[in-house]
Amino acid sequence: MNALEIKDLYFKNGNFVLGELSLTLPGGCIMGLVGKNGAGKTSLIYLILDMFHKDRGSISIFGRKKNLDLTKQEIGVVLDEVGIPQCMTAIQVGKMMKGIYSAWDDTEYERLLEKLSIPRDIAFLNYSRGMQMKLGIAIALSHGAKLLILDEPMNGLDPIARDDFLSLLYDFTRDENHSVLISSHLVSDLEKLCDYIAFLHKGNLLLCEEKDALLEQYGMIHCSAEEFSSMDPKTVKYQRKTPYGMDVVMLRKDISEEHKVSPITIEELFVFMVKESF
Amino acid sequence: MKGLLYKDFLMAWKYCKMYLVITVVFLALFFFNTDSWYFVVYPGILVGMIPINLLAYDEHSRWKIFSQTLPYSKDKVVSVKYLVGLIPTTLFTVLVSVVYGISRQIENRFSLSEMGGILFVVFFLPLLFSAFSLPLVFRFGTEKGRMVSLIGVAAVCGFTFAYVAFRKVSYTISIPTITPTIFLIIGTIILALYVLSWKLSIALYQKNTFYPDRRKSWKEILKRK
Repeated sequence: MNALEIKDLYFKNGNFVLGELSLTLPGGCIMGLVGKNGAGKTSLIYLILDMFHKDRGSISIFGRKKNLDLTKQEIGVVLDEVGIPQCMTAIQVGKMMKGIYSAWDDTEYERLLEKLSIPRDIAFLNYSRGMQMKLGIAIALSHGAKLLILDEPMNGLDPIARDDFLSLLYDFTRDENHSVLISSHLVSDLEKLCDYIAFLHKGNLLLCEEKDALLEQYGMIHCSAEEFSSMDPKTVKYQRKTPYGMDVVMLRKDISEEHKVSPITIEELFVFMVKESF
Repeated sequence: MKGLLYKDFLMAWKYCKMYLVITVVFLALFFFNTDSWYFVVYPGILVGMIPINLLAYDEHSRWKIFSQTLPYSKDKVVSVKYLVGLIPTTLFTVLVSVVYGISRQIENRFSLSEMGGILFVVFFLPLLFSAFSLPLVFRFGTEKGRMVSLIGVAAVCGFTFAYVAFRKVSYTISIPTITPTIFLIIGTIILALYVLSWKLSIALYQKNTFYPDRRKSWKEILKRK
């Protein structure tokens, strides 16, 4: 079953328009939502969680379009600002969440507090940003969620904490019923983690594909300006001038054997796509 | 709703401790001077302000946004604030009745009708304040909402003061002149206003989004789905 299905979603707020966009997150997969600031990543997440009211389209989670309040029992959410009351300690947060989530697991929460070295008796106000994020992640993983929705969760995390976080996500997705939708502009982290990549730019979905298929489809060649001018323009997807000549992104099937093909990273592909779309 | 109530009472305990101190001091003063209603009306209003203060802290900590990701319908998020207003007000009313009862028994001038009047004011005045303020806070946010409600309260107080000054009437009201029927009617009206305010706040919270541009007009909000 698909964890998330969005069809023809459209949302307008002042000058900002999101969509129409459609995407599907299959069960057991991780989808990275990539886009620069203001691209609409957070708006899309808020729409999924019914925090914004969509103008058109449909969103279903685990095949359900209604009763989102019940479905939210199975969703773990970490927003870019965690949103825990500042006077509360991790222990008090655990007590509160026990009264909120029917499947709250004290043992798992304790284990995560220990694993992530989160202090138990210090008020949230006195946590560093990284520590606040870690607490948000511990909450999201302690109530048997099947879908994690994470909005820029790695912001403010140092490399060690980021690595801990990634390993937690790997553990989470070992269960084939667990899925993750994660937004970030740190594309390199998503590249390691995700099965699917969705590029958002100015409210439009530029692309939503399996990561490996993307990396298999596209290749980059470095060539001189003369070589570039001799290429068939129809086969060139994206191009940019460099001090040494040209970087050209093409579908691998269109690249002639005389050119040496370099693999392209998701980050490079994203930058090419965004710049091209201006 | 257990988790939300736990959170709000914990926050009330941490952030509104000063109210408790003021309440204890004022109740002590009231014990020695049960003729002065001011000693119970002022802390009563403070107790009535607890939900609005909690909303301000919720906004500041971004809980207001995070709470929307939790498995609760929006009406429960709103209802908790009304309950958090109602429960301390009820407790305060009970405390006032105990203090009044003991003090007047010692002085041997206990008056059931006067006690009824005091408890009526102590219970219904904070409710009236909440009924007026909470929809404004849910509509405009705590910053503007609090401002609007305080202006409203100041206007009512100013009008009362001016009326008393110009007409040269007494500040004190003779309780026996207010019949139980009038108490009942006014109490019912205030309770109805409280329930209406509750419903209105739910409607505001359900239809509002965090984007100011997408705020619906009052007409749209009041329109049935």
